[in-house]
Amino acid sequence: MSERVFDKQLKKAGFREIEIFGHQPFGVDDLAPYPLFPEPFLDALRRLLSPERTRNLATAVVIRAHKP
Amino acid sequence: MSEVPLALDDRDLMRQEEIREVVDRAYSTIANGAGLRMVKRLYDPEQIDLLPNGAIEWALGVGNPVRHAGLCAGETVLDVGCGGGIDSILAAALVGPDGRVMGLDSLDVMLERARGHAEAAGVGARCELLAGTMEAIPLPDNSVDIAISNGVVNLSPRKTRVLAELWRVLKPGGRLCLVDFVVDDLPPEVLTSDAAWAG
Repeated sequence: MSERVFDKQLKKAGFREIEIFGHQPFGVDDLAPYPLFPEPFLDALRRLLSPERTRNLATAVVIRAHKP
Repeated sequence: MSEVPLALDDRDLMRQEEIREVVDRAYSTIANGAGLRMVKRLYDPEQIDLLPNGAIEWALGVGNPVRHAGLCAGETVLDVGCGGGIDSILAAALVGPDGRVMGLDSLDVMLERARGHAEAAGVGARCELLAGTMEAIPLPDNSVDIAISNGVVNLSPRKTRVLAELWRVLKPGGRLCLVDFVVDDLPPEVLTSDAAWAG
């Protein structure tokens, strides 16, 4: 889910005072310690993605919101 | 005239069950988590000091929701997708003996681990482990002060439903503090991989 869609879905669910911050890029090499990603999958990512995208595959964010 | 199927509601048009099975299988079969390397990247040294080795070994999160949650003594916390229990343990330390942490996970094997790690950390008495899914949280309406989660909501094939459930169980004035992946377009070869759904 993109950040924009996450924000929209939170609002749709009824949440308010939504904050999204603390962006931390995760690249393919950052995923390697997680056993959920087999080496062939990581190799495929390196092969398929641009070098820039390989360094920033996804972004971890902190999402805070309130229920009114 | 072509016939229109009547039982549309029974069809899993979005392959939600298939996605759920892929995720459950991935998390059921791994032999360890991301370990100390990721824990040192994500958590503060004072937090790491509170954690037993098993919880560190089974770390699978992508951030540090407890750092940003503003937890207070006596609060009731829901840790959605508690996994090995690392964030439940840290939350339990902050809410103190009058507070309560409920760790929710769909996998019994993870709940067993979290229970053991919470006991080892000395906060077992204030941690309750719940079997269930984030799409149908087994808690009453308006029962939780704050819900935290660490890299879990993105695993659900029904994210809108998850957010609605979180809203339901939070008390009025309750807070949500998630850390999760956001991602823009990925190539189809990546999106169709099981590993992309499990991580």
